[in-house]
Amino acid sequence: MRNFYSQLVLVPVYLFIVLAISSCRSDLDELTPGSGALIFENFVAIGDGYIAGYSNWGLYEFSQENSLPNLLSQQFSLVREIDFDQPILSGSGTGYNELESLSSSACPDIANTPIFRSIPSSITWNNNVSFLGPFNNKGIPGLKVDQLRDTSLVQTNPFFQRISPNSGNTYLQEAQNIEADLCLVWLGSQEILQFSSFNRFGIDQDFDADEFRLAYTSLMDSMLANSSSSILVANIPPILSFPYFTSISSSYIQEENCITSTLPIYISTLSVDGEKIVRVATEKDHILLPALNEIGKEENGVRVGLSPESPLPDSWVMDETESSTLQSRINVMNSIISAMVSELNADFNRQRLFQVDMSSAFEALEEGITEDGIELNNQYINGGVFSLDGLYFTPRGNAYIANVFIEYVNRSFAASIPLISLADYPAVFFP
Amino acid sequence: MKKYFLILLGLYVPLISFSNGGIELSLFSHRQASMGFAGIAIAHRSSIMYQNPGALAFVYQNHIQFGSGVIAPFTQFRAETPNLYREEMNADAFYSPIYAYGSWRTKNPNFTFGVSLTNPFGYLSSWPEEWKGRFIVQESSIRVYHLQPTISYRINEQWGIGVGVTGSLGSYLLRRALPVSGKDATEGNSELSGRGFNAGLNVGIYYRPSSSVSFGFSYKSAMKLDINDGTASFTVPASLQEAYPTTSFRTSLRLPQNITFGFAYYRPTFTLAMDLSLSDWRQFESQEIIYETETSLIENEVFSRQFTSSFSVRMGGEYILTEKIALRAGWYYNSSPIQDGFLSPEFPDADVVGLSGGIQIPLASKLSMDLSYVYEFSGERTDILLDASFGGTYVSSSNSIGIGINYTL
Repeated sequence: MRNFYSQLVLVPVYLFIVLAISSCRSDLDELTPGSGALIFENFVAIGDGYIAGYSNWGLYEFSQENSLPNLLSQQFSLVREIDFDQPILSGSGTGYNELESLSSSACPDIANTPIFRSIPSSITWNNNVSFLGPFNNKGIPGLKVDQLRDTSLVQTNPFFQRISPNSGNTYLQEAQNIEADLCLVWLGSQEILQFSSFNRFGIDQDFDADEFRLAYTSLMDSMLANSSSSILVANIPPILSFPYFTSISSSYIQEENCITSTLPIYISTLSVDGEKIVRVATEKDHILLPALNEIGKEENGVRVGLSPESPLPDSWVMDETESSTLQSRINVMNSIISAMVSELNADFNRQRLFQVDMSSAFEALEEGITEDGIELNNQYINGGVFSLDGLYFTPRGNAYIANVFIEYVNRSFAASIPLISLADYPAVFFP
Repeated sequence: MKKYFLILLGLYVPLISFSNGGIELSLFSHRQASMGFAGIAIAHRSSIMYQNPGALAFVYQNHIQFGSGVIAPFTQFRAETPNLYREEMNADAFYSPIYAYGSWRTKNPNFTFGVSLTNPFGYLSSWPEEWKGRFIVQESSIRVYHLQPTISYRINEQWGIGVGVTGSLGSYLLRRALPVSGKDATEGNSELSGRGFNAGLNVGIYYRPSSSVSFGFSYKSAMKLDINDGTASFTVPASLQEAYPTTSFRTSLRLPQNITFGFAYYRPTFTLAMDLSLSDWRQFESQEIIYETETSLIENEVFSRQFTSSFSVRMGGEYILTEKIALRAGWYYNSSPIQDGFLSPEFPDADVVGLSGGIQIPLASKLSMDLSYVYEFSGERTDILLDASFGGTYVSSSNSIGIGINYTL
């Protein structure tokens, strides 16, 4: 008996030795960021408001500091210190909107009613700052692809005017004034949204596919002239799913004591034959964000949009026909971009142009995703991604999109560039 | 028959000690703690009544005991690759269970009755307020107290059997940030806290075939503590206060059923003990938070847990240096009940190894002191919490020091 017990004691001794060795504690190793096969000394971003950092209906210091390419440059700097100069508009810049109040409802499933306050612009915002350049961030809000070679852009676009030293320069010429061995290009959204004035976006009626292709290709040619450059080309995201188009339901919801009833909304639009008519909005029509607090308002005894006498004007509606036109325009642009990238790459020994597909990042937002315990989706205000204009991103939204590019670069170049923590960036500020 | 009256007051402050899966503490006496927490087969003091009700009938002396201690836990976190983010749990967080024992014999010396108050489950995770996982947890804790009246019967010279009815009181806390920012960029916050109660059964068997060896066996039933009226309070910007009212919530804490088997080997100058313990956490599939008031921004939550069974191997020894001084050492291994895909910073558990040591020294003729020290550590554990898409690598260790004072009546 004694021997058996003595031997039994040896079993746990052996177990202890094995387990103690196998679970030795060690301090967590440091990750060494690396750029893999991607070599860069400088980084330049080309595009429209999405690159410039437009947000909340304006361009201003805070929104520029949190712009998509600026966030990217901060992550790239963890691998190699790089500069990223932006044409910063100090303070309130062009002016922007913020939430003044939110009549948030205690009823489940009832949407908030936001009231906005506009912050006035800073007086000197459109002073020319070209002497501070050249800038790494070449994002120009409102820039369309077919304006890339336009010499009158300086007169028509104040964002371009303020960074351009010469009155006759084209965007293409400005884009070439800085060495760029890593470029990010994200253009084409303004072919859908015409940037006519602040706080209002119209739908651009004209589109010439050939002009689009020629202009885009000449931009690529000029970037490729620098033989060491690698160019990330982002295609057009599914813009029509952004909250500017989708946040207002096509029937009006009336709420009393948490019980809802719906009323039809009347819109002024064109019939199939091209005649002006007034009809009830269907699910295939999209009511645009500017109509948000206007529907149902009393005006001369009628409630706006709720009776045939007072239909919603055309500028607040994207009807079924318009939306299918725009959707096919997006598809055409994306196939042009895709074809252009392969054709141009064929001329080189190593791949120079890298197409980054933006659709899956936004499709994921339709369902909603969770990261680090934060839920992101494409809802207006509460979704975390889109700013108050329903089209451009919050800082957190820019971080989400920046991670799309970083993941692409890590995959394609076997790099290990650290991702951005979404928790580090705010979304909409609530009053 | 003499009436023996035993009061054991163990005031214990072991802070986060992980055994049998992060939440189950097995610290019921400092003597046992310094022996790797082994000792279900040892009828040394009344403190055995919770571990093994059957052994209580074989405890002969009266003692008054109390103890306290300090634990310094340390969990490091590194975010999922590629990410440079690193953080640590707050070093100043600690946790201190309290317990007490009392037992007495009737005129019939074969029956011993006892009541114990113990703290068999608990944890505390306290992370910096601004850390990356703050929307999952900033502070979370569970504390469970068991009050157990126990009857132990000595069948004959070799066998003892006992049963206790365990009343369990549990408290729960979860504090985390909300991803809504106010004007000055301050973030929202939510706090859930509540208590629940239930009862269970604890049975034990003690067998001493000879003076040199003894065996112990215990079974503890599973318990589900329902928290029915917890408080959910939120701190949010003024415009969102209607959508985040203070309300109540329901949830449940599930405690596992447990079987433990052990033996002890006695020699004149030393004692060796070894325990094997199995806790069945498989009932714990998910934790639901059901809010009384749901609004457009408050929704019921389900945390998937999918716990599996965990086991613990414990071994320890005591060497009697002199009549009054004893040296103790031990080790243990606990497997974690948390499976891959479910590792949360709320309680970042892993398989752990612990090393312990301790000493008993005399203070006066009837007074002695137990000192115990336990060092526990885990290897790195890398996982992604699927529910929240929060991934990273954790590595933990903890130091516990305990002091117990024993007075022999």
